[in-house]
Amino acid sequence: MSEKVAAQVILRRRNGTSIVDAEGAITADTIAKYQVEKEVIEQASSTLAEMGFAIEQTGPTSLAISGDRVLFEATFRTTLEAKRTEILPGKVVGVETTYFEAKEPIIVPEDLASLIADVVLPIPPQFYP
Amino acid sequence: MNTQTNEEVVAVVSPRSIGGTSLYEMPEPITSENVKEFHSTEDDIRSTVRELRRLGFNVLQIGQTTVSIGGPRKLYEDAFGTKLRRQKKEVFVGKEEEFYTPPGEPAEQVLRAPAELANLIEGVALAEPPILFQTPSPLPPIAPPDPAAYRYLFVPDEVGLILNADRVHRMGTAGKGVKIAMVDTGFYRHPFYGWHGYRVRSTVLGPGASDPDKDNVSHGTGEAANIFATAPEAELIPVKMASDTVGAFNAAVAQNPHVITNSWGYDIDKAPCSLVPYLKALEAAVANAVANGIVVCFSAGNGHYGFPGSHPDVISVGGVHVKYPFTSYADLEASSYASSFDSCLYSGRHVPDFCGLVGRNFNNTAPLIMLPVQPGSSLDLPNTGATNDGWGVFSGTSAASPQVAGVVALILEKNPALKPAEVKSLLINTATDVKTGTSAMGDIAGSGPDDATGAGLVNAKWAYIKTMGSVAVQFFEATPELQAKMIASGQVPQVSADFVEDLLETLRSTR
Repeated sequence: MSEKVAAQVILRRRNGTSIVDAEGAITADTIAKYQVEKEVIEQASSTLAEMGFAIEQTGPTSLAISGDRVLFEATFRTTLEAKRTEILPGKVVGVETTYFEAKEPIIVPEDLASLIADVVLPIPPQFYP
Repeated sequence: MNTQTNEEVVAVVSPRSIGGTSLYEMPEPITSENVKEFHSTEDDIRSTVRELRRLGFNVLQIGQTTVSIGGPRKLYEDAFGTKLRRQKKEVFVGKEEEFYTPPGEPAEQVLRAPAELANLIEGVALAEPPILFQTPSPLPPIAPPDPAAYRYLFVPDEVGLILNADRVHRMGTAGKGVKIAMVDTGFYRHPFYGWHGYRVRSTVLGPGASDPDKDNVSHGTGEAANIFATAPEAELIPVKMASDTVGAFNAAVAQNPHVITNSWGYDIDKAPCSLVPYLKALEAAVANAVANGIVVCFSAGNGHYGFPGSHPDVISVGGVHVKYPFTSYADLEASSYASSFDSCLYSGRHVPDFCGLVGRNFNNTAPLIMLPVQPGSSLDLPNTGATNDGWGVFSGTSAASPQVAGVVALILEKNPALKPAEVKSLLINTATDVKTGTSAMGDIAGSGPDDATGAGLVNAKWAYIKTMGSVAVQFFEATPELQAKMIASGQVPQVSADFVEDLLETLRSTR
């Protein structure tokens, strides 16, 4: 019984660029130049699904995936560390959530490098009650 | 519950624990510190599932410590060599449920596995129905406020009143046909929502989220009431978020809403002034939503340097506190709990654009608005007198963003062609000036736009009047063909005598 890990997969456009290359702010006026071609989204989704990941949500620049922790660590050659943090910090009540951090840099497999610029782990937000 | 109409009995099986002590014989509390000792190996879990299925049980759920099973009463009696007793228990006032127990004392309530499985299975506990929390009332309780606290407000009436939304509703505009997605901790169907007849769609689960009918934190459940305070006819789409804010936000976009409201963020718009790749993905998701014509509202933060509340495309909503007694807009002040800052991520960007209603800082909380929550949840706060009554008083800038989302729904109902930037501009130009008070960051409010409150407090009435005016101008400037189309599509503002009278009164009173 392994834990489930969620991540965002940042996709590359056909010309090799992605949002991680953006130097300025990404806004409604500039987002078009980072939106990934439909075929890239489909190809990345199907490849990751074949590897055993679930495609949770697709977006124009990234995909949300989830999968077994062991699979994630093996695929992206890293070790994950489970952490806990408060989502209503210092306020009314102590409510915690679990998330993962990579102990070593995540490495995108070579055969996916033309489609995927980076794989990043979610950072829990804070709520403002 | 271990009984259903077909007499299926549910039980929880504990396969051999890694630590050697049975889950059911552990005298000490089982906590996050020691729970791993009660996990079972994958091999033992697999073998247990196989054996239980061989015996004829349905395997309902497989966990790291237990396996839930179901089956007829007789199967249990045959498999575990015992007789079960039918019991009844009151789970709620006037409501009983049946369940089964073994014949012995409570200490003997764990069924022992057959001899050939004794090494594999530590024990089997029959499920017993829990006592349900009392159904919460749709009416808020009379809370005993702390002597040093201040008067709190009710939803929808008092919030709608102060934001000048009531008068818009009486004109027949209440957000009908406008979909508002709320990305938050989830949504529990509190009777408050049902009794008011508010339209709430089934909860959409973001990546990693589960239990669509529960909201154990209740931040989303409570803050959603602020939407309906300003737009009672709008349709709410709750999106339950786990840790993946990008995935949840994109799940909201996929619902094609007109508005997305967000009462959360990251305290990172400060040195070293950069976005890590995960937050670049969030920045792109927000930009994409706005590029698609969705109005995106974010809370500014409660003393946080909140991102994406500082993103240039979003409506950044800060906080204004209303003093009691409230007799005029002179009784509004910048909230000492709400954020105000110059973004270092986005040059020239100041937070907030304008404000909604927020408490002032009181012992590091902001108790201004009483909100419905899931009974016993994290935000079922004692400040209402009980922690299982389904109500809590909390209202940081989390309350302000959904209030503004509701006002956006009012103007989009009248003019759906407005683009996000036009909506923001319209609300900035019609906000009520707030001239006193100091924000959490120490910015002081004064006459005209200021750093503490931006343009001031959102004013639904003036936003509505301005929208009606714009539509009227569009109509009178249009060609006869286009005018005919506008009439056919219902785009022409229905300016009633009541509206004109109300408009004149508003102009005279400056409300």
